[in-house]
This record gives sequence, structure tokens and C-alpha cells, in this order.
Amino acid sequence: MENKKIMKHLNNALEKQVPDGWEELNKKIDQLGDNPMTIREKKSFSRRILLTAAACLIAASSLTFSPVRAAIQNVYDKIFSSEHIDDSGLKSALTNGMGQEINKTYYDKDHDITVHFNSILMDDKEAKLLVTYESKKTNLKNYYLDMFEGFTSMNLVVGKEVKKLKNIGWGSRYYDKKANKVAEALSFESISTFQGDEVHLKLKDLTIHGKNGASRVETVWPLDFKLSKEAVGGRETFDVSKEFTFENETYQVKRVEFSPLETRVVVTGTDIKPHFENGVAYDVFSKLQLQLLNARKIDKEKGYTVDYNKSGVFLSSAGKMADPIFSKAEADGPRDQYVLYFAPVKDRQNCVLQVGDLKINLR
Amino acid sequence: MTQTSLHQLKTSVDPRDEFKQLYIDHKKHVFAMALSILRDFELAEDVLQEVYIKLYRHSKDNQVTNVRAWLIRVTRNTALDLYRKKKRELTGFDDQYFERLEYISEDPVDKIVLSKYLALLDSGERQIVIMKDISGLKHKEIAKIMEMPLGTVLWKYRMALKKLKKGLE
Repeated sequence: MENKKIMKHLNNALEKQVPDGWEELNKKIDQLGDNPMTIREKKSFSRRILLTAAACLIAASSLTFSPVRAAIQNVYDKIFSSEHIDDSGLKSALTNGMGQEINKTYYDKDHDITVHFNSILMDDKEAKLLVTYESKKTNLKNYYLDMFEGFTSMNLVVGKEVKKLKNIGWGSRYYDKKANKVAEALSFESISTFQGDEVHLKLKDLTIHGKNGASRVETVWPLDFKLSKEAVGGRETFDVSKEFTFENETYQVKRVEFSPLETRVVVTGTDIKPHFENGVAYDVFSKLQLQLLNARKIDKEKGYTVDYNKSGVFLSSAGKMADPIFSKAEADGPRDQYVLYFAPVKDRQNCVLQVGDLKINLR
Repeated sequence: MTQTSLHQLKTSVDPRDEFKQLYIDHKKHVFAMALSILRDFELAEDVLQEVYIKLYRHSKDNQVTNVRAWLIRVTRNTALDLYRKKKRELTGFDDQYFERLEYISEDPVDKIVLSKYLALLDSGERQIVIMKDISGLKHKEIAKIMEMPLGTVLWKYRMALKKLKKGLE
């Protein structure tokens, strides 16, 4: 039986199994003798049905976007360097003038969605494509270019071959409710080896994360451009051998890597290893990772932010703090290593890793 | 319709009716989450009642904007508390226990799938499947609720589907 069918049967079985229970609950609430409360759901029931129907309608039909001449914007939309994008590495690279303008717009007349490809930038491990999309008619709140767990995919076309590019972390997204506009920094494996060549990318499908799971809007956006050196940043790697103990676990900093988009600190440790359960290997949080996440704050408007008032894992360079980049904290890597991601630093000779009260000089 | 009458219409909605609508909208997610931890229909029903009482009380002094996420989180905690208290009674099911349960769906495949889901998957796998496929949460949200690395959630989810599929062959 297919997975989809299994889940349909499970859903049906549960649906039937749920007791009515309202009368009993209603009585219990009466017995509480409290004043009536108010709960504000974001949408009314009838509105939700309408939106679901609209989403289904859109999902059922393919969007036919056609390229139009776009009004020339800045090289990148200012929103990508604003507080709404939770990737301090990207923001730093943009404010330093990195990036290649793409400036291509697609418009779908049927659904009134305008998609604008702003620019692209990368180092040797990760590419960032900056995209905005907006609409006057379609509510874009639940629309995502989700390569991480949605239907969206990024494909590189070389000759007749199409290669699906892997996502790196989950990128950054901001929905501006007032303007009904989404800004996404898509994050996927680097194509820096194509510097100087004509590149053909195909971005496929929008993902709608609705209340009843995900659905897709089928579409293809082709992007053709010559990858210029302005889009590509280099990487400097230094081997380090620094050992430290945190909460009775021993860790060793193996390597530090610097690029215009990030700083990576590669660590091994006595609790950085898979956990075996019934013969299956699972990743589990190490104490170091839990310490890093301790200072992670989730903000509805700004995504992942850093709470410097909490104990965490921080990186300072020449006395300046480099924010942890939580959005790619779980990017794929070897299981016996953990990569801590921070914003780029200016002084690469003078970096200090702070783990709680411990300070580890990295050079 | 004038603006005044529209306002009057809005405020005339009985809060209890509104609460009932919330109950109808989300009770499946609450029940399914409780069941995934407790594997007992009656206890899951108790949790369903308890969680909605908590919601009623909580919302008196607090604004709940994402009701579904709030419910799932509180259900998980409530069911885990109950599980810890009842551990001795809830473990040690024999092989036929899940086949003997009283399934309400008349569809024989629905029954088999639910019984295999309860019998074959471990607690973590069951919770992940419910959050992903029944409540429609993203893996990222599930990882946060389960306090697990994302890779583990993805892996457990895939394993769960594999196990179910194999068990239904």
C-alpha cells in the first residue's frame, strides 16, 4: 500500500474514533463557573473553507508565468538586509556589496502573482538566491518556496542533464502581511564552479503549507545568466586543534572556515556521535548543540534571533560578536562532527569561541 | 448593512459557540496526539477533555493566536504526564491487544491500519506521524516540539512509514 493511502486510512480511522464529547465538556465548563472567554483564531470557519477551496483550485491548475520587463530595482531588495531575514551572514555579504543582479520578473495573470528574482550570491559551499513574490488577490501567507520539506526544487541544467540541487538548511523567509509580499533567501548547494559560464537554473513549484498539510502550485521558472565573479566568494580554512571540556564532555575544535557568507567552526566531541536504538542510528543533540540552542530566540517577525542575555555558544572576533546562524544549524555533515555556523568576521586572526563561561582562542 | 449593525453582528457571537467550533476543528488532532502516546482510547478521551478545559482557562487571561500549535504542545505534555503515572498499566501489551480494541470505523482497512500503527510504531514515531500527516506540521516545527534534531525527526518519520508499510504487506 502506498504511503499516501496508508495515511488516508489512518486519518479516516482516527476521524471515526474521536468521541463527540462536547456535551460532557460543556457541562464541565459550566461547572467551572467562570466568565466566558474569548479566543481569537486568525480566520473564521467559513473563511477557512473559502481559502482551502481557493488553495485547492490553485493547486489543481498549473500557473503559466510569462516573463515581463521588470521595473529595475536595486541590486537587491532592501528587505534582504533587514532584521526580517534571520541570516546575519547573508546580510553581511549584501551590505558589503556582494551579489550578481538577476532582475527577472514573472507574472501570472490568472492568480496575480508577481515573482521577482533579485540576485544570487554564493561561496564554495552554499548559494543564496534572493526572490520576492507578491499578489493583490491571492493571500500569500502560506505560500513558500520550500526546498527543505516542501515541493519546491531547484534544478541545474547542464546540456541535456538536469541536476537537482540540495537545500542547505532551510533558508530565510519573511511574509509582509501589509504588502502581501514574501521575501525568500533560498539556500542550496553552491554552483561556484560554473563561474564565468552560462548557467541555467530551473526553480520548480510553490509549496502551500495549509492546515491540512502541504500542496503545490505547479510551475517552472527558468533563470539563465552568466555567473560572474561578483556572485562568488572564496573560503579560507585553518586547521585548529583546541580541546575543551563542557559539562563533562570533551570537545575538540578541528577547523575554522571563513567566507563572506559565514564562519564555520568544526567540532568533534565525546557526545557527537549517533545514538543506536533497535539497531538504527539516530542523531541526538550533543551538550554543545543544546548550549548553542539555549540562546536561540524565535521571533514571529524576525525568525531566529540571538538572546545574548542567555548562556550560549558565541563567537567573537576582535571584540565584536558574530551572530550564530541558526537557520543552517542542522545542515548535513559527517555524523561525528558538528558545525557551528556564525556570521562572517573581519578579523580572522583573532577569534574566540565562547561556550558558556569558557573562552577558547581559535588561533 | 451599516457599519454599526455589522459590529453588532460580530459581537453577538456567543463565546461558547466559538469555543465549540474550536473543539470541533481541532479535537481530532488532540485525540490523535494523546492516543499516540497512551495507546488507549479512553485515556485519550480523558486527555481530550482535560486539554480543552486547560485551553478554556488559559484563554481567559491570555491570547492564543495559534490554537492548533498550542493544543498539540499541551496535549503532548498532558499525555506524557499521564503516561508516566500509568506506566505500569500501559506497558506490556500482548500481541493481540491492539487487534481486540474497539474500532469504530467500519472500513476493515482503516481498522487494520490503526491497529498496526498502534502496535508496530514506537511512541516517538507515532507522535511524529500524527504531527506530520494528521496535523500537517512541518518537520521543523515537529523537531521543536519533540526537542529532537531535525535529522532524527526526518529519519524516524521515514522509519515509521517503512515499518507501517511492511506491517501492512
